[in-house]
Amino acid sequence: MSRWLIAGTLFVSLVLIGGQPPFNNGQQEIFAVEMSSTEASLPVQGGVGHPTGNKDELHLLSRVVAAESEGEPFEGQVAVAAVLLNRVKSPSFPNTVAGVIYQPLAFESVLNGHIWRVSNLEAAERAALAALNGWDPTYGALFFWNPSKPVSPWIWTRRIVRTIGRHVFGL
Amino acid sequence: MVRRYKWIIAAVILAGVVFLSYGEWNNRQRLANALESNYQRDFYTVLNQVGQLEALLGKGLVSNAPGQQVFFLTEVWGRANTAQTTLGQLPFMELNLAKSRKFLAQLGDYAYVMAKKVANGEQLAIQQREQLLAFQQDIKEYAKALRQAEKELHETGYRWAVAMHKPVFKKIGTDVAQQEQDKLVGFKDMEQRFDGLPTLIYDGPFSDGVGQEEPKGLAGEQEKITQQEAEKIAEDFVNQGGGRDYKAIRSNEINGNFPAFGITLDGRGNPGMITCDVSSQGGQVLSFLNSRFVDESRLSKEEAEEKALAFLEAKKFSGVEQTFGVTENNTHWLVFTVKEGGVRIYPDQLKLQVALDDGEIIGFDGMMYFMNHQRRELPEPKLSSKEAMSRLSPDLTVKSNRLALIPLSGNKEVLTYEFLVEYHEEDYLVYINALTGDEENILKLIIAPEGELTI
Repeated sequence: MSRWLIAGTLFVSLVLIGGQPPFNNGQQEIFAVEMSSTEASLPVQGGVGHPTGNKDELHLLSRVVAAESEGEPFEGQVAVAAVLLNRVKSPSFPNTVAGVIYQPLAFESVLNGHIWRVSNLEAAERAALAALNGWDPTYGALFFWNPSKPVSPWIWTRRIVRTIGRHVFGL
Repeated sequence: MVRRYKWIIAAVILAGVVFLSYGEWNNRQRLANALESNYQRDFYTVLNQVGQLEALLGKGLVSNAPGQQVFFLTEVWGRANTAQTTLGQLPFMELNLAKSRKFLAQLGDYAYVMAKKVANGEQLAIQQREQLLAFQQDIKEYAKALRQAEKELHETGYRWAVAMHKPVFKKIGTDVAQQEQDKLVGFKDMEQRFDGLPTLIYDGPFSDGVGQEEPKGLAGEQEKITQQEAEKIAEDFVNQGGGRDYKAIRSNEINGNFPAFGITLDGRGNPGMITCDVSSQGGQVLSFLNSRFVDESRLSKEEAEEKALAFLEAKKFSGVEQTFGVTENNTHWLVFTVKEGGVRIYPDQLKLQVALDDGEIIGFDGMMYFMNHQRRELPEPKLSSKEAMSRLSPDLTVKSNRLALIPLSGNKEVLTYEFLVEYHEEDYLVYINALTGDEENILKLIIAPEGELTI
């Protein structure tokens, strides 16, 4: 009797303290949120030489790349960074890198805090740098999603540009 | 006796758990309220900015003094930006406010383009005034809808932060987040209204159609290539001798604004894979990236530049000159620009990455080149460089100048004099139109110590 009582209180307290059972941190699906940059994206005529600028965008991008495209091919990582930068340039999304990344419910890795727990940023930084310098394997895509994860059915109404690794990239 | 002892321990644990849980619950409430405050403030910021936009657009249209018009229109631009960005920081779930945000971005951008026009001494055309009026009517409706929404949200005690809730048990229990979101009827109605807005083409970065241009550099190419041909083209392009023998291992189709093949190549025993995109039309290599890790640098920057130039020559890109170079992560990043009759054609750029461990080209990006390159009839400058220089502020020290074709928004290209100037120990690039003498653009140079801009 008392054992059950203790087990019961422990369970109730767990739910109370945790709020909810811990969920999977590895989830990478994006909640489909639709998507602006100004001339700031042209540091030198024609968008050249982005690495010379400040490093803040590189830092922000590489965290999301590391969290959202862990285990993805290098090109897939460049593609994720490129999607973020395409969103910055689009009128339908916030017009800064931070605005895009921290748009509420946009990225599961932000919601579950995975972006602040990533440790190895080396490859992700290389990928982010390529994207900042203009490489865009997605040809202007604004969305990416992993078809094996639960995603909003709406996302499939997007025009698919290509698939890289486990991610589908679309406009 | 032992029995009672057990009960006391259980009661103490229970009391402890209840006490701690209450503390945690209390903290969670405080965090939720802090988050809610942010969202509430954001919502009222949007409401306030949209209300101001309505009045400012009206004043801009009523005003007959160019100076005032520029002032009102510029303020429209700033406030529309704030409204757009802030709206993007509110949590919406299934409700997708892409069109509302696009409306605000275009409204601001359009007002900015018009402000520039008036500032350059031009008058707004009838259609442009009508477009501004249309914007004012729409923003009026938008402000009305937002005020109605505010009333409802206020009366129902709406909580934005509830959107962050996730059901503890997925299958059973109600989705409180979705339930709360369903109350946002006003936003939904407005989004549907923006659905019916006609496409808007103007000379700004948010104009409809931006990003959907045809690649001018492929316009002359008629021949459609097969996948096998694309693989062969990719292999020929990435193999630069030196014992590396990359073979195509798979390809897939790319369905961007124009069709292309994405080819993956493996170097058999060599580290790294290459992904290379080849256009279906004409079989041009658009870009490639090598995923390999680059070891410690053994090559100098100069050696890397030689390798890059030799690579471009071998790939038949002639008449290009290096305009930028920077070393990051043992890799030298280079930009080459087409030069035609002494004029630098900035839209036609090629980017390269050279690995500083063995000099291999590990990245190539020709997208800007293929999107913009075309046969151009360059006009003769009407101003001499001396005349153009007289248009500069007298406080500047001119370090160099050259003729350059630069891209402007709205897919325009203008022939300019590019002046590298120094002002209070900082470098700027000032572009003076070679035909009209207008100041077209100013860029501030921010160069890291390792970066090098070739002027």
